[in-house]
Amino acid sequence: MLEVTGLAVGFGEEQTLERVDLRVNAGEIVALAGEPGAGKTALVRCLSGDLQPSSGTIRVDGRVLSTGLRAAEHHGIAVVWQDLALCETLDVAGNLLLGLESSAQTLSTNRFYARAAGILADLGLTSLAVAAPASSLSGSQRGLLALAMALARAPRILLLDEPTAAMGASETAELEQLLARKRDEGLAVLLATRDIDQMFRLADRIVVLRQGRTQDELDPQDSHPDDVAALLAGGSVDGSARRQLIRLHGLADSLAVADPSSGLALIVSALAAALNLERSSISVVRADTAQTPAERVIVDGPNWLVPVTGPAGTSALITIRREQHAPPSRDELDLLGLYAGYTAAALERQEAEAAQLEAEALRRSRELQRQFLSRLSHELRTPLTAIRGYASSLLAPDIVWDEESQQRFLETIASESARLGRLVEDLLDFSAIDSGVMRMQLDWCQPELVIDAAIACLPDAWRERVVVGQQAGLPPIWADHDRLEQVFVNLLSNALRHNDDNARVTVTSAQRSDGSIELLVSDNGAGLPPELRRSPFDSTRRQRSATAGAGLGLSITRGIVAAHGGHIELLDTNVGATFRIVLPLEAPLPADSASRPVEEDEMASASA
Amino acid sequence: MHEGASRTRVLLVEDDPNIVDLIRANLSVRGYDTLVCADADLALRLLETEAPDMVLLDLMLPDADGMELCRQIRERSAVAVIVVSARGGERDKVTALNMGADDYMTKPFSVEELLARITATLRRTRVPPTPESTALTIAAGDVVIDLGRQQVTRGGEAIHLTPTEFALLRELATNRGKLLTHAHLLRHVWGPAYQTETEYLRVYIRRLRSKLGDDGAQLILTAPRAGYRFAPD
Repeated sequence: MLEVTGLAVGFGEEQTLERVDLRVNAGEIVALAGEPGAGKTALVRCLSGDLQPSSGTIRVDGRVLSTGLRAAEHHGIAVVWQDLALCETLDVAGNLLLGLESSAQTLSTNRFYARAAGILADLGLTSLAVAAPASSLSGSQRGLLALAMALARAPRILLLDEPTAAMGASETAELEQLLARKRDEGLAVLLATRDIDQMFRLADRIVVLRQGRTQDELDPQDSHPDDVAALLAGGSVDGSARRQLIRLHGLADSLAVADPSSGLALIVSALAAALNLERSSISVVRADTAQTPAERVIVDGPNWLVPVTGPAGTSALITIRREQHAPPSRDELDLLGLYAGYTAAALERQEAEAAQLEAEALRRSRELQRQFLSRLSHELRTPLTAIRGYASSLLAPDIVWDEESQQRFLETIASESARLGRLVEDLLDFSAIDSGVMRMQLDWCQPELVIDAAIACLPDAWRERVVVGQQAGLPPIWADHDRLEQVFVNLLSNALRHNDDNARVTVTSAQRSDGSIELLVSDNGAGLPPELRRSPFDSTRRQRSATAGAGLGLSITRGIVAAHGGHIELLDTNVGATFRIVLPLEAPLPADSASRPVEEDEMASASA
Repeated sequence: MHEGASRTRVLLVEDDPNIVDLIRANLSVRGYDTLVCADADLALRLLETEAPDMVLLDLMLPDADGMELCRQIRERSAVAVIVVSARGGERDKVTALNMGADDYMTKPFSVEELLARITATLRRTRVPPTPESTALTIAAGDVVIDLGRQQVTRGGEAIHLTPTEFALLRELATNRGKLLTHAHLLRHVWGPAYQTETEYLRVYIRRLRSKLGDDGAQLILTAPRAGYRFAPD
């Protein structure tokens, strides 16, 4: 079906593919094995028409394939790329049906989704929700979607470039099952992968690609995974002692795969042990920018520098510091090549893991933001509904309201307007704090007077439930009196509103040994609900409840305290809730927003 | 449906006391009876014991999922349901209609809007059988529509339609073979104010097709971007 002969590709000076000969028959899975940089991706790009070969031919059913993605598509070739190109603004169904004959416009929304769901069900990929936005998918789900997109085009030949590199175990199994099924239905599959176990689970034949050449071909039925590992590392399938050694090194790689975060450190340790060196004499430094691939080990005085080749060129350098001046022996060269491959894989896994974590965090924060906005919208619209409803009732031409009703309507309009006003104030404060533009009127003020002023703002019935105990002779602090007052009004009214009439609130103040002022606001009520206790100051984490407002109060409180150079925390208490505020006597100059913590170099831990 | 002589009963499911007062005052002064509750279980009980003509349902209840409650009401009864929501998004609207709501109103609303939606929905959901249509029965394939008794059967089996679904089917079937535009259908079935609310139509046509077993759109034909047509004789 697919036949490649004498294929070569040159990128500028470098030959990416030197000589590739390959055959994939219908109903067959051929695994393409190769270390990073061996030319797997270049070969897939050639076969998909994305890259023009400098010599050699590609034939599909005996007919020569011309260059261009369309030509390949015309021949029934579909590709699942390593970096999955999804349209982030579309949902799963939109991506799946993108560019298929009956376009989105001609289908009704329902049929559109039904069609997408039908395709996924046929493929058995029921874990993908058709209406989920592409931007919300995990790495694994993206991989499955990319596969579904390729299969939805009913190809005869499917090319996959490391489809499971960033996938979880269960999704990998799902993908493998689907590939096996499609193979049995007659699909020709070329699977570029580094996962040797996967080759043995799936492939009918294994073709080993090394340094741009098809090195060897193995039948999984009568070969061992170690043979593949050996061929990948540039050796040949020979002596059993060598095999044992390579099997041992493969073990280091398998262990490293199990834990991406410590994988690199493990590989460095294993290499040190294999070379009989101290672990500290080997370090891995990531290349800042991709450089042209260097294949050879550089001998620099007593030291050896081993380039690590990633998908985009040299991605890192392994530096091995040695005592004696000596170039590496042939065995050592093989070993270095093997470990350069493991290192490349470990670095890629680290990157994939970091990217996945980042995407996860982003998704979570978007979801919280969406919930926050929905709650806020509800909080704003509720008073607005009452105001608009009562005002339009009074204006309704068909009804004359009695005096009592008129009075009640007007009172509600007034109180709901006030509620809306407070909410808008809070929102403005919140966004001022959030964007760091809160204005402060700083002056020397007495903490005791701030607390008295805050208590005076409370309704009469609440005021008598507040107990004040303060140390005499507190020094004045450099602060914004009104903003600090707002802090205490917020904390006090929270404590009084959310607890029953028997609860008391105590405010105490004292000077600490370092000169700063400590203020405690504690109540003997029911305490904060558990979900709030975890992160009480984060307004986006609030749930809607019968008594909660928009949940901005504590965020604002924390913002004001922080703007004074102080901090607020919820103390762990058995009874009620206690907030502790610590304020410096004089706030430092406005915090320099440019001073962010320096990112820790992830390599440091590996080379330490 | 309630007897024509007695007052119209509205079940208001809402937790905000101001909005309850607002709606109740405006409805009672205009001759409606209002029942109020703020939780899902009580709402379903009142639906059974009090047989209201209409439910005004707030989506954001403190202890219940309004959408789910809407679905449960529709499961039990063909009562008119207007969903009131603080969320104005298109998606929420379509979800509510899919859950069986007859209409969707976004907060904040004016009293005129509230009354207009209630009147339009009531008109649509309790049409008395008109004399000229009493004898009329329309058959299309194995579907038989009895306009007089407001009953629909398919292959002899009764199909349960809500009043809005029936009103839409009647409008289509009595104009058999004629193309009815989206605006025409919305105006005649929902009311003049609904002329541009095409998603109402989309949701109801789909539901009607699925209830009539018209999955291939052979009975209710789609004229893309224009409207719908009941299959000609």
